[in-house]
Amino acid sequence: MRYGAYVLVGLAVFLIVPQFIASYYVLIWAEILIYAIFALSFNMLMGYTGLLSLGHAAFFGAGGYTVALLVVKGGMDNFWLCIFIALLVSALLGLVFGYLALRTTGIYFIIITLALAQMLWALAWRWRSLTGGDDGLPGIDRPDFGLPWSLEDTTNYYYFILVFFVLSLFILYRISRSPFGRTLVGIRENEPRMQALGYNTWRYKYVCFIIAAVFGGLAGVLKVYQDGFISPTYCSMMTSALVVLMALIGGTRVFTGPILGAGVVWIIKSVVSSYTEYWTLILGILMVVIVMFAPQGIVGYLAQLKERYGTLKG
Amino acid sequence: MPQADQLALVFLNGISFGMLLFLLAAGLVLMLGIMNIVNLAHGSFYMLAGFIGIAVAIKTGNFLLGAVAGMFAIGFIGLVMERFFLRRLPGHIEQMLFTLGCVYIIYDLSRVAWGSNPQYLPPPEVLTGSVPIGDLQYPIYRLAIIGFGAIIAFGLWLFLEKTRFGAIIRAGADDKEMVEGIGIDIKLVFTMVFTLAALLAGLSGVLATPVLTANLTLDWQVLTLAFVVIVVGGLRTLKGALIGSLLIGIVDSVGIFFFPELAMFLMFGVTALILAFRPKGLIGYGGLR
Repeated sequence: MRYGAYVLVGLAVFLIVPQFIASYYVLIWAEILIYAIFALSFNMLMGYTGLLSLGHAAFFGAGGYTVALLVVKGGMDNFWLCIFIALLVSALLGLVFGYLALRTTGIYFIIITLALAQMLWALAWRWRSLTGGDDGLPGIDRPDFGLPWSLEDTTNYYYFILVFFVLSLFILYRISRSPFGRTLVGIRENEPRMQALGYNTWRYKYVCFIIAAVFGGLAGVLKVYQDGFISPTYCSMMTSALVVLMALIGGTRVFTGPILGAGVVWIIKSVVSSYTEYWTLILGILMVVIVMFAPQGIVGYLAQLKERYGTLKG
Repeated sequence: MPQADQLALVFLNGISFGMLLFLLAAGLVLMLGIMNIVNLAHGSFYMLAGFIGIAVAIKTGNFLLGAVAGMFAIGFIGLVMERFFLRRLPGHIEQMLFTLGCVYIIYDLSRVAWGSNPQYLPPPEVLTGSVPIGDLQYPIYRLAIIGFGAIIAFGLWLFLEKTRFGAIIRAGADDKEMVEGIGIDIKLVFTMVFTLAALLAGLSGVLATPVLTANLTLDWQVLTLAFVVIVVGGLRTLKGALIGSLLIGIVDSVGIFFFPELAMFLMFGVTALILAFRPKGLIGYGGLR
């Protein structure tokens, strides 16, 4: 029950605080929520099946580019149709990439996900006539529902994202606590045993991969509406590395870890970027330090402390 | 329809690029085979070697000196990375993430040192000029790369098959515990293999500068292609790396020549087809050779 109390307090904070801070900070909060969805989707794979994907940005980019192309090239302004198609495209991409990558495990899985995502990036980069290459595609307006609150307003758009965040959080949480999620953990811990128990482990991992792809795509959709602009960075290794770092800093074995990780990483990035242009260097150093000294992440570390009280379980 | 001599050019370009890829892929395969890790900074090694090679070659006015400097600087970086960091990390995932961090560190330091404009190094004087192929001219330097790559490939084969150290590496790839059990310091072998792989990546990077320039986008671009090579060829075999390199080099060259914007579709198509029908690559995961 205490878990429910945390959720309520958290929700209250997310609802009230943006009313009292400058819109620049609201923007950063909104971005954190988007990256939190992205990191949660990544962690469905990493945390629950133990599969490290170095190409998760592919789905972020797929979602983002689908919306951008529909709006800019197709002139479509129906938000629901756009997001539906974008999620469908992400799922289909997950279907293909998952099929190719999941025939292998461990390091081979990492290599193949990276290679596939990089191909998508190269496509976005080189296919100038469609994607605008590294100049990107500008001119994606925020959705207009004909409501009195315009989403062009930062705070209103923030609440719009918050709705999606809460929904995603709820759905992913339910999935992780369902028999399906438990089976995934079983596969992570001991795949041969799960196979011996009669589970088709490949199919479970495949479905999980597609779920992760869809929510990764959702994050990309929200981000592209926020930026009003898309560039190949969306599906670059930088984005893939960022989400790995978020999950890693937050801790992969606790459901809420990646949310905290997204917050920490994005705040550091925002602060560092406003002072120096060495964000990439800091990112690299941060990664090395975390891996060397705290591979279980912040939440993982706290969870270790709290485990004996039985309040937080991975 | 392109002329026959144009086609020949495209193929030769593909093979010379394939040879550069082979130097990278061979290092990746050696590391995978014996240490079971993938160095994500391998493309960064390649890029940095190019930058260092150009800087030294321009300072001294000597191509060979630049090449040696670039190659050994990267070898040294590899040695430090393995000996002081990778060795202390508990698992393969942590090791890979460490190399991922290194990618960004190398990227940003190179950006600060050399800026984001591509840099070019003219080939050494002996290898300038070109030979006629049909109605077209083909640069000698690219032919030299092909020859040089073939020599290195043969040298690696000799090294692995005919020397004692090569035998230890092959044995380590098959059964680490056994190798340790007969009193060989496997950690020393790891360090040497990683350094050797770094040297090969450095060599590849320096050799590439007269044809492909050195620039900041190379790290991931080249790493991706090298990954595609080992995925296509079979992850643990040098033979696979060689076949994969030549195949991917040619596919890349053909793609860029015929439909530059969509070259990646071709690459993706070939890779997907091979993975779908042969998930373990063309050669498979067998021993190192």
